[in-house]
This record gives sequence, C-alpha cells and structure tokens, in this order.
Amino acid sequence: MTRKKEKFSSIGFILAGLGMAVGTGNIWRFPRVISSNGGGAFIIPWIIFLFFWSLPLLVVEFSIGNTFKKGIIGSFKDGMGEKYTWMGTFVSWVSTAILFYYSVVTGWCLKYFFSSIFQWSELKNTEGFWENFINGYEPLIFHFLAIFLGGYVVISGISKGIERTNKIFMPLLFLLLIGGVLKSAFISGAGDGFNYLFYPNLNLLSDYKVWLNALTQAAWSTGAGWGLMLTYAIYAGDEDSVLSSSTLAFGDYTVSLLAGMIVVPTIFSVVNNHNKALEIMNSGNQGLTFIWIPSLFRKIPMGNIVLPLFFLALFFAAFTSLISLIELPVRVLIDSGLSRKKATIFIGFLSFFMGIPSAISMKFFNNQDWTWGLALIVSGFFFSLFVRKYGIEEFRKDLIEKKSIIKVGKLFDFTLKYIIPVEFAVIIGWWFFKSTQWEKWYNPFGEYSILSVVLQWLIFGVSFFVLNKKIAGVYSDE
Amino acid sequence: MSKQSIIFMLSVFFIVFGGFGLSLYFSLKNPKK
Repeated sequence: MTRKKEKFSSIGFILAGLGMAVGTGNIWRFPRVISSNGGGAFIIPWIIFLFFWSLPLLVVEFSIGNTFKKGIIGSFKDGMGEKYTWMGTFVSWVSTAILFYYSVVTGWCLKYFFSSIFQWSELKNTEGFWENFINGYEPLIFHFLAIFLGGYVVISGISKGIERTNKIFMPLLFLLLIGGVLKSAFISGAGDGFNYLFYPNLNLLSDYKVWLNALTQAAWSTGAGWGLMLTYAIYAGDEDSVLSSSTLAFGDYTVSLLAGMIVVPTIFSVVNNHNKALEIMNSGNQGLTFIWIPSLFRKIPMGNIVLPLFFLALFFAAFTSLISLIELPVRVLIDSGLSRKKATIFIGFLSFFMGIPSAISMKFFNNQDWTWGLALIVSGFFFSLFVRKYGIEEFRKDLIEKKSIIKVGKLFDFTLKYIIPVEFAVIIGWWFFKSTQWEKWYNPFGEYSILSVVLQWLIFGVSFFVLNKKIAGVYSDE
Repeated sequence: MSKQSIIFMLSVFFIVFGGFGLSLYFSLKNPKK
C-alpha cells in the first residue's frame, strides 16, 4: 500500500516543534523551580545544560527522524539493528504512558480557563474549589474533551491538522505571554520579584542541588529524548538539523523565562512578603497553579481578565504538546500498516481508558508522572546509545553536518559519548536517593518509591525485550 | 532592581532571546536549500 507523503512547511515545522517543546513544564514548573533554587543563579547551570543535554539530543532526534523517515520503533530498528527494536519500543511506550495522564492535565487547564470566566465567585475559595474539582467527576469529562480535541487535530493530518493548529495557537501563546510580562512589570511591588529572578547570587553555584535541579529542568522541559522531535522530523522538509533544533531549544527557554517573569513578580507583589512568596512558590506544581495563582492573580488590577488569559496560555501550551504526544504512537502504528484514521481512533480510545485512573486518583497520577517522567531520562540515554551503536563520528558527519551549515565538531562526540551517560546516571541516582526521603524505597505501591518505579520499567522493558523479534517483524520492510 | 540584577537580566535576554531570534531567522532563511 502506498501512502500519501505528508509534510510540514518550514514555518509549520518550527511552530509545531515549538508547540511540542513548550508545555506545562515551562509555565508551571520553571517559575517554581527557579524560585526554590535561589533565583538568578539557577539560570547559569540551566543554560549550560541546554548545550549538554537538550540541544544535542534534539539534534540527534531530528537527524534520526529526518533520515530514516519512520516512527521511533522503525527508526531504532533501521538505525541500530533489529536486536535493538525493544529500545525504540520502550522509548515509544514511555511517551505514550505520559500521554495517558498528560491529557488529564490538559483537561485541568481547560477547566480552569472556563472556571476563571464563568465561575469567578466560586473560584474565590481556591483550595476548596480545587479539592471539589479533583475529587469529582469533572476531571474525567475534561480528560475526554482534551483527548477528543487532540485526536481530531491528529486525524486531520500533518498540514491540515497539526500545522494549522500550531500556526494559530503558538503565535497566540507568545502574544499572551508577552502581554502578561508587560502587565506584571507594571504592578506595584513587582520589582522585588524581578530582582529575585535575576539576582545572580554566585555562591549558590557551589550547591550541587542547584545544578541537579537545573539539569532536570533542562531535560524535562525541552522535550529532548522523548521521541517527539524524531516524530515531527519525519515530516520536515530540507531543514537545517542544528538550526531547527536550536530554534526549538531556545524558543522553549524563551517561554520559560517569560512565564517566570509573569508568575514570580506577580506573586512577590501581591504577597508583599519575601519569605511567604518563596513558600508559595514551593507549594508544588498543582498547588501553585490551581490554588495560589487563582487566589493571588484575582487581587491584581484587571485580575478578572489576566487570570483567564493565563489559563488560556497554559491550555495552549499543554494542548500543542498533547498533539505531539498523540502523533508519536499514531505514527508508530502507521508504520505498522494502519491508516492515520484507524491509528488515531485506536490511540484516542486507549488514552482515554488508560488515563481514567489518573483522572480519578491523584495518588495514581503522581505515581505515573514520577515513574514515566524519570523514564524520560532513560529514553534520552537510549538515544545516546543509538548514536554510539551507529558510530558517533559517522552519525555526526553523515546525519548532522551534511544537513547543517553549523559544524558541531568533536564536542558533540564527547557530549554523546561521556557527558550524557554521566548526566543520566547522576539524575537517576539523585532522584532515587531523594525519593527515599519521601517514602520507603521498597513499597511496591508507593507514590514515589524506587521499587514501584523500577518494577514498572522492568515489566515493560523486559516484555519488549522478550517480544523483540515479533515487534521487529511487524516493522519489517517486506 | 539592583544594578547587578539588571546587567544579569540583560545578559540572559541576550543569550536566550538572541539565540531564539537568530536560529529562527536562519532556520527560515534556510541557507542549506
């Protein structure tokens, strides 16, 4: 069966890629993480890790997708050899497992956008509102709505669905964020927040935790190593591998900074107490976004306009990432011979049903977010193994530098060979160690326990390893 | 805002926003084509 070749335009690829990279991690995680790591000084390691994790992995993903023109499983099979198909399957599964609960998050953003317009008075008691919402049936409805809308975009195809949506949502997101920064800059007392955000207290750089948090933020926020860039690169034209990856990586960082410049100064200004403001910034992703932000933003001038626009921006960021998360397994199924329509309907139903436990139980949601969020670091490591197996120098010369005006040189080889494996070991080791401070490591049903995480990785990893030959057979070219 | 914060903020803007703007410009110009 011959399939019509789908393709992004140049600007369409950039906007879709930005939509993929920019997500809730930029808007709700970055302001929280920079605040809890001493403000300005955090930016230095965060930018360093852009060059030693995010950017090299995005370039690798782009080059694989654009060369092999297949989804993750097919690309790993063709690029690494049939024996390693299970690795590609694991990477695909990790991002698909994230899709299951990410549509729940997208649903929360949509709900809060509507609530900040139509339930303004009920939203006054922000904590009670959040508790009622999260323990009720509404997260399920909004989860369904998010998956339905995302599925509709993906089923419409690359140019008519994904490109068109991102061409509307991404410029709007940037406009909303720039407007938000201008607004926060003119709130009285915002200067303290800006000062905290950009004061480079260099003594903090001797704290290893600042470096580890910066590395984690760089790894989670840009979407590097998830396989999403690989999937979109299949449909890219003759783009420059390094320049387009840089656009996405720097664009992602730009959005994080803009979000930080909205959230941090506004909170500092309304709370008017430095320590209390920092305490609020430390209240966790959901606590900050769905309890404190509605409570504080409503107190600023024109808060009834700013709050809905903030949640609209958050929804745009989440939804454009959700689309890429749906496209990833859809493409993998298309490679196995299914039509886009059938593949999207299957993934849509699967995501809805697999997302139900996360929609109705925060404990389950947290466990899945932790398990598969950490597994993304494993995925990033697998991409570095891909390049090693292919031959680092050959990969650089044939797959990257032939398609770029920029020569990444031997620094790329060194990063892929040594730095990324070390970063992988350090992040996993550090977070495993930290999780033992939250709960017992051997509790198999714990929210954050090491055993729960490793068991889930092993169940899927070993299954894919055992079924390697069968999976590879599905992706054979004959 | 302190003078130190302003200088640091402008340096960060230069690297991050500048990096974004330049790579976006050259990506779309696509000199490889």
